[in-house]
Amino acid sequence: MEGVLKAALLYFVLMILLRTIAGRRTMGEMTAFDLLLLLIVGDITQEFLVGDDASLTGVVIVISTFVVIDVALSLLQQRFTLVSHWVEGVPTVLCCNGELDEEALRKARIREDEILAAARQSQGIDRREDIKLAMLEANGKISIVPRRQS
Amino acid sequence: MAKELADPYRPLQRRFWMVERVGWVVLTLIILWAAAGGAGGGPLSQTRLQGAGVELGYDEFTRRGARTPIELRWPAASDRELTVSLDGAFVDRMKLDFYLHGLSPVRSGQTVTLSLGRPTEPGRLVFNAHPVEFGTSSSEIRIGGQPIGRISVFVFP
Repeated sequence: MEGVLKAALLYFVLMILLRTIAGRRTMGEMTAFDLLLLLIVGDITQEFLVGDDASLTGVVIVISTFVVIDVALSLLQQRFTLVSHWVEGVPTVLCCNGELDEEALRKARIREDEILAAARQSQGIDRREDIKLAMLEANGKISIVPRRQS
Repeated sequence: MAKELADPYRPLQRRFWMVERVGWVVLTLIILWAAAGGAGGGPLSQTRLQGAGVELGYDEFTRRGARTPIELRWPAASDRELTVSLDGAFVDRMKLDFYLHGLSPVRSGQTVTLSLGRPTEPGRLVFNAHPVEFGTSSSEIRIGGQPIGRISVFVFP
């Protein structure tokens, strides 16, 4: 019982901390240091989750809890759009017809050069004016729609 | 206006951003509270009890399983036997480690008594507690049979 409660509690705490509060950019643009931080988080939480109980049963209970919550959440997301929006986030327009949305950039903690880098990498565009739409997707990546399709 | 049309999610996104920023503030407050010792190990949690020629320093707040020092200090020599008595339930819940100093507590009913002999000079002893249950644990402290107050520790999960 304790294992199930701990796993469920940790799932939602991590979801709130890493997805809701840290934001999409943190998850989308992971650096080597971010990866190191996640490993540390994993190590710390492992101690909380299993503690002295290193039995196979304990491990199966914790993993099963994670999988069931994950599946239940995906079913809820499929059924209720609002749940999906809260859990996954929504795409955000960063640049429209070459014009930057300053509010979106500031709030999403994105710089203009990051949009231009995404434009260069995905579309070979090197000028902001050639961007029809730049969007921060729910997965934290920046997608670019060029102004003129060639 | 064009941007608003291009971004139908903007009102919802603004709410997410607001939640995100409230989260930042909450996390910052948690860090400041923890740094100040709100969960043990800092000025917010440290407290002292005095009486019968001894001083007891301990953390009012701590975390489950965390090493929590309890310091007993006697500022002067004494020709009387120095004994410390605590409630047995408190000793069990806080998992007090007396054996580190080679001391043997004597349990009599609901009370655990520790005898430190006759101190010939000022000194101090630090016991480590490793609380096993969350919630408040408290005990009356008696020095040489004389109550000097209550020790009360809140253990965070």
